[in-house]
Amino acid sequence: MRNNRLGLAMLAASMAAVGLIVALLHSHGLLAIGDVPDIASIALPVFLLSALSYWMIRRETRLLSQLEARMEDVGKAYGLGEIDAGPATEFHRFVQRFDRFLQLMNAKVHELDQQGLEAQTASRLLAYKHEKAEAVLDAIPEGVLVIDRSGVPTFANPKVEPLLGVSRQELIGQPAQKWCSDKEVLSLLMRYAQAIDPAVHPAGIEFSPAGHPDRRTSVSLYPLFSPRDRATLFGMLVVFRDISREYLAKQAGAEFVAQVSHELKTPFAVLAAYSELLMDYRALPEVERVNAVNVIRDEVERATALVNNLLNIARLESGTLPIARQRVKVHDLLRASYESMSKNAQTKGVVLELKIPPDLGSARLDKELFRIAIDNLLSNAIKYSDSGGLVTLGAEPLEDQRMRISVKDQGIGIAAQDREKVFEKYYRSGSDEVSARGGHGLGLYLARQIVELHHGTISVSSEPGKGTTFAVEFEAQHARLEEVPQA
Amino acid sequence: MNPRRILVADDEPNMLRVLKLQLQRAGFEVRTATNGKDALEAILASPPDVLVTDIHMPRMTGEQLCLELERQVPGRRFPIFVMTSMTDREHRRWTQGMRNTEFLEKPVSARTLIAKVEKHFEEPPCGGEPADA
Repeated sequence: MRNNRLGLAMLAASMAAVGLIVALLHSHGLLAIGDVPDIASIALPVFLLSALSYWMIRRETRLLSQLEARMEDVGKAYGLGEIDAGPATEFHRFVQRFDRFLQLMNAKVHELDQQGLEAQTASRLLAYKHEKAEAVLDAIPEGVLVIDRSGVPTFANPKVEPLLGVSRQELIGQPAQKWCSDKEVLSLLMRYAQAIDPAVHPAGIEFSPAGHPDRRTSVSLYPLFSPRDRATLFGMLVVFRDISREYLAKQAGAEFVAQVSHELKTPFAVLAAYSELLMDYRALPEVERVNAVNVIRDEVERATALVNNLLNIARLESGTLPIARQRVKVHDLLRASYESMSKNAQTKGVVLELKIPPDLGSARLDKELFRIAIDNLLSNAIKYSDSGGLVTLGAEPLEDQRMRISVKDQGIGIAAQDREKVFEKYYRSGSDEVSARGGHGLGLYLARQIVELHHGTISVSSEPGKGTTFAVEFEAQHARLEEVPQA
Repeated sequence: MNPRRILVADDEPNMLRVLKLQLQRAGFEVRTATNGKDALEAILASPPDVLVTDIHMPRMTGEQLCLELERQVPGRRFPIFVMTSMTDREHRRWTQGMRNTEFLEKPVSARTLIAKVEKHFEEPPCGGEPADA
């Protein structure tokens, strides 16, 4: 529309100019206009048209003036300065101002570009720092949850998911009642969410996730204070930790104490009963007296063996058991073990057999410790054999100066699911046949510890109801352990 | 008078042997069982005058044996002496409301056991009376 009007003004101005030129040409006799009556008849419309043109041009250029005024205001605001006064025409000034305005705008655009770039960089940096902080929190092996004052999580790392059994999407922004199924944990979270006193202290509890009684998770809460104002509590840091292993170990430890106390009390109860019997020895038949004395000796041996195993394990685990390696004739060592266990086998009606080649050679071993391992394997084989069963202690040299010692029995055998576990500390099979034969789950654990200390391996093969073979393999001349001069 | 019949249940053969010997010497007729299940079968076949049982036994513990007897022998008249140790205190809860049941602290002295059994025959504990008395 504005363009049309400007066009109209331009047309009028053009026509006026054409009229003027025609008039001038005519007056100079350069143009012959036969149809034109006289100069006045041309000049009037020309004049009128010129006035109209001027008026229309002014009207249109008013917009330019307004624009110029605005540019001047903006220029002042940005310190553009005054335009030089002088002979410059209005249009000239406009052009000058427009040019400087363009320069200013150009500078501003450039400045804004710079600022935008900086802001973008800062934003990226911030995002990177944020991501880095989250990556650190994600890498923490514990589950980390940040909850606000109303108990609603604002952050959760991935480890929280398996520990709580809910996805992060289900957690973030949701009140604790929606995702926390454990009453105790919920009550702990709510206690802090509702705490008015900011002097809250770290607190923690343990719980088993719903449907997983075998798992144990600890929850610890730490108050989060505003970095600017230490008195303002803005939320809580909740740390979840999977303590199933520790929990199971604790439980196993408690069971062990119960088992060991039972194992220790039994020989003492028997000792008490037989010594009471012997108090009246004159009235006892000879056979009962002999039996009582034998029982007392056996029970003392049994209690001693258990105490020794316990002490050796404690010393092995605390690293206070000195290891003295020396050249040992394996034949002699196994023979000594065989002889010390023969009595035990005889009492149980088990046949103990020694099958060692005479030229077995020697090995660098800690004699005392290795004896404990072999004794434990033998006593285990005898324990799980029935009367009339055969237990064979064998040995053979292998390639590369390695040696293999085996203890084979025809006893009750070990079920497949128990086979790998028999070397675990305190482990005892839950089967009736095993329970019926007292034990404390330490003998095989200790044997393995000792064999491994000699850089050897211990393995088991078994067929339930048919028998079991334990095999120990080790490097006979291995001298990596601390050595002492041959005794 | 018929000899008083005692059933002793313990998985420890040496303990079983010495208790049997001492009780026999005190004039009791002694039967033995090495687990709760065998003891239960023996009791159901022929109830004794007294039951002496250990707790830790394979196949059926002393606790399971007592609870089973409560269920299967509602009018049980013979007393039960449960051999237990101080650390087994938590095991004692299950005897709440179980009449005619007494604990014997380990190590069990045969003399103490015999004295308690004798006392029972003289003045049966509240709520029960000796069988075949």
